Amino acid sequence: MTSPPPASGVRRILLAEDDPVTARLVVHRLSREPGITVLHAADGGTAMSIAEREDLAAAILDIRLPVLDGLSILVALRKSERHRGLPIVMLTSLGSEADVIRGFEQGADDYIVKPFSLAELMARMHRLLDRR
Amino acid sequence: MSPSLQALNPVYLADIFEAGGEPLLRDIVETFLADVPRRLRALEESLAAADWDGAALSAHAMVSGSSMLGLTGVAAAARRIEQVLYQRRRPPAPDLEALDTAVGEARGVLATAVSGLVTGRGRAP
Repeated sequence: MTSPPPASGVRRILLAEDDPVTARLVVHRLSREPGITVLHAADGGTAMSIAEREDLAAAILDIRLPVLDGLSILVALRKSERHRGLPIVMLTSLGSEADVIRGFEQGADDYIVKPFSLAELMARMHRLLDRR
Repeated sequence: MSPSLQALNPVYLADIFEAGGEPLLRDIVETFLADVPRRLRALEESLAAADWDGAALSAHAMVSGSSMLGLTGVAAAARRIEQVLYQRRRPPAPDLEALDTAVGEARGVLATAVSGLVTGRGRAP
């Protein structure tokens, strides 16, 4: 990332994604950035547990998740004192435009449509993290 | 020609190769090949139990993983099934067979593509 990590330490990014291919790619690419740690949850319940105990710099939420879907996580984060202003990117699949609209209505900052390139992922994450 | 042999978009594998070289490429491909049989079993079990939501999650995960590798044949077959499941209906047998076929062919398709990238013969334009 172009902006340095905060003096307080590492920037933690929550990734809620149940597909291991997407998860490994995102973790691999983001973890190469200095000062970034990715906290991966394979279901929505685990993602909420992480959000309740961690200070986060951003969240990447797949919309279709076991236990609790990404839109429900988004709503919960927007209602929470701790993560109200958290930059949140939704992951969705091609042909799921209705999900994108619902995500924006619930306060998502951006969305990425699968399949995406790692360059696109980084461009969008740069934009979100650098404006913080 | 079978659908999946025609339906690999090499751009995504090339992107992975560029990001992490052969180790990342092989790791990601093996991750997919290890995950997809588990998803197919989960899909079958959910269908047997008429658990449309569970089946849709399995189909959706296959859409995600396959599309990120450029396996457009697998992704299209899984997406057809996913869309039917969101209507809380059982997917037609030919759609399930098409997914099985596409998944069955994926290993060979990926092996060829990976080999091409690693040896420099399969770079995306």
